[in-house]
Amino acid sequence: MSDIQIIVMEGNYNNSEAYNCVLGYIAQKAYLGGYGFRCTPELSIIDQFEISESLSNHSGFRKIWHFIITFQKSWDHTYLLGIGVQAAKLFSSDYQVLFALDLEGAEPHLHFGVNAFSYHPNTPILSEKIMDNYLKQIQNLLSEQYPDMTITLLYK
Amino acid sequence: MKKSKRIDLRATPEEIILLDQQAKENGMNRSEYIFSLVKKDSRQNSHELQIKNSLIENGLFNSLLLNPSLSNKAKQIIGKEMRKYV
Repeated sequence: MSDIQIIVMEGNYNNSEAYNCVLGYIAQKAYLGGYGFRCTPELSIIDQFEISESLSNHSGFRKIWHFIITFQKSWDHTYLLGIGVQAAKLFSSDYQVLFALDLEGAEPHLHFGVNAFSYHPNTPILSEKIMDNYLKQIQNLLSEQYPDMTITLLYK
Repeated sequence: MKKSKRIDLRATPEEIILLDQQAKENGMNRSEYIFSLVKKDSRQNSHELQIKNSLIENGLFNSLLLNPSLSNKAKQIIGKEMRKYV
């Protein structure tokens, strides 16, 4: 088994509850971060993701991407959060992202929910091809930082 | 209802045909269709600007998560506060 795995969660992310389900799930975790939303009582983070979809000039079925990064051994929380911030920042210039460090289960792991619709109305949706490029960037980033570790990218 | 004013627009015959087609397809008259686009454009710009501006605030929160001087407990409190807005 690899030291670090990037796993894309496959599921039903096309329906009207997709934002609620993924972002609501991620938000339950111990540590939270992300880019592309304001913390304001007027408009929830879920609402802000949905508005990007409704105002986009592009259409698509998938509303949100959910992926995780798992680690075989227990790492220091700050290191893991650093990886979370770095990965989230890659998306931030075009797509909104909420991430969390999950301490439940055998080992800590990071969850990411990335809006498939950009907050720039004319920017294309986060297609499988574009997402794969982002995930490979994350994989390369981790490979550079942890050259002795094996890092794999999986679609489940 | 507010009193509306007439405005003049210059358009080629082809543009007028296109405008009428699009307005009809959307169940609107010319004026309604033009201003629906203007309003949509305004909402898009406003949302885009708000999200762009939020990146600075997000960067601040994220940097707190990476601050070694802050305890894990304190970082979890930040998450707890953020959770209220999800």
